[in-house]
Amino acid sequence: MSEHVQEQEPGLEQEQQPTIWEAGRHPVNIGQLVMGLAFLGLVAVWALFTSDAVDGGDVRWLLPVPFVLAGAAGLVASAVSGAARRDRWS
Amino acid sequence: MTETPTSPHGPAGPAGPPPPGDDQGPRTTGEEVRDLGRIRRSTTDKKVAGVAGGLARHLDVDPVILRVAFVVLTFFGGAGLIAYAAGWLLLPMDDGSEGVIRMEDRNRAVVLTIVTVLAGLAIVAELAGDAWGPFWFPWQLAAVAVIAAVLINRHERRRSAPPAPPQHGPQYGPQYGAQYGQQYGYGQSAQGWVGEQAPPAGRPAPEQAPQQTWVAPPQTWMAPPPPPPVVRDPRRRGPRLFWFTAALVTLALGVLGTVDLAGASVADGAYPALALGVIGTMLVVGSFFGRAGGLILVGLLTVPVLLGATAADRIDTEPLQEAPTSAASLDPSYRMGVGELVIDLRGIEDLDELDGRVLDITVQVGRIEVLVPRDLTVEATATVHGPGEIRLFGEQRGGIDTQATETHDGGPGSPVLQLDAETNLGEIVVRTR
Repeated sequence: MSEHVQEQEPGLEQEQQPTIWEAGRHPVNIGQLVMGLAFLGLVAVWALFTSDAVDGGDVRWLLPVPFVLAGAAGLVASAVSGAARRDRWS
Repeated sequence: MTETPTSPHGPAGPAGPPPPGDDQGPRTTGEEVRDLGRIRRSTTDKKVAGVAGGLARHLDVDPVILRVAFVVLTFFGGAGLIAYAAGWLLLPMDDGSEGVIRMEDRNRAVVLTIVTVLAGLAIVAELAGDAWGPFWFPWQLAAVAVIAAVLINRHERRRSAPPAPPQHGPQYGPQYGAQYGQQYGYGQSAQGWVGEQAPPAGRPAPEQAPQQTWVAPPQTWMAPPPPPPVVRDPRRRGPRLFWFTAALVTLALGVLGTVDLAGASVADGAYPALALGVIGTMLVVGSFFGRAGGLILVGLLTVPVLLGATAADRIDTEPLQEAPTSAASLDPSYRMGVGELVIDLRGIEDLDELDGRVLDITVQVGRIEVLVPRDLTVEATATVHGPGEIRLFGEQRGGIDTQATETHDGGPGSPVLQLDAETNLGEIVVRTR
């Protein structure tokens, strides 16, 4: 086995080692994606409220927006990943 | 064992006591009587659970004597009932089956001694005229006995748990059978008599064929089925991001704190907002790369901190003042999230234009104060849904979910303004000066 490895070219062995990105990349985690986007949306609403870009009364309409957008993004990601999985199996 | 030719099942063995009238049968010695660990419930001489029959065999007395004693002692503080119940729970059967509570012989002897002492105390207390409780039964002692029995039983089961086989697979069955066949092969449990390897009289010794003599239940030696293969979640790949994110949040907060101390205007809510932003970013990254486990929980804990800090920012600010000078400049409604709202109507010159109008004021959390001129009739209704206080023209009311209505009379012919003030938590004040 070790002799076989020694016979291989050095460049070929390096190609077989996955990079950090390849080793850590995985199918999308919908829950983490949705919650991450929701948290970022809340921060955006806070920034708008704190900078007086929006009135205090408008916050009640802005607060649900991050969750709507995050949920929509989660649905899209779920549909895309599901379609990709079906294409791979078919 | 002893000089008495008995089987390992007790003084009389599984065949039961000697036939009635046979005085030539085996007798028990004083040493055997004192060995309470040898007591077995009888399977052949039983009326209820075989306790009296087994105890009579152990003591080598007529079981009728003990049955009468159990019944009589039940009327003495429940001593008979305690003793019989303890025997039922603790004593194994003479056919080798365990009692309700499994216990080693030595421990069982100790527990039986304690139960005997408790029963004796019950008799003494009853004779002394002490009331034990409902139905003249010592419930306290019974509860203590049950709890102690359960604890001892758990300890015994933990100690007596068979060791796991060295490897999985049914191929170890015959080996275990050959190893334990002599030990378990005569209906004897692991807790009872195991030291004597020779079979009882009348039974052939196992030769080289353990398959025929090995009658142990399969669950005593059979290896558990091999665990199912572990299927890893394909989304759990790559490095853990939790501690990296924690370090990143700490670094970001440190930088923001430095900027704050340098004199820049940084709101209190900026700190949790920055932490939440970092957590959200790392969650989005972790949804594709690495493992972001635990960050959702940290983010959910950060959200209320952000809301509280933002509200504190607003409360600390100066009260919002509204002082219209004409009826036209007075809005029909004023709304505010958190803070203090002060509306001063005393500067309005054309009060007659306010006649018949409705002024609606809502502050979610905080304080509402309305100053009205003396020559304006105001019908004020104030509602605090949560805890708070209402003061309308000197009338004070407080509590939870409070509502009050008061009218200030501006005099005959004065214009009438209807005022509705509402808050979830805080204070509402309407006054003329």
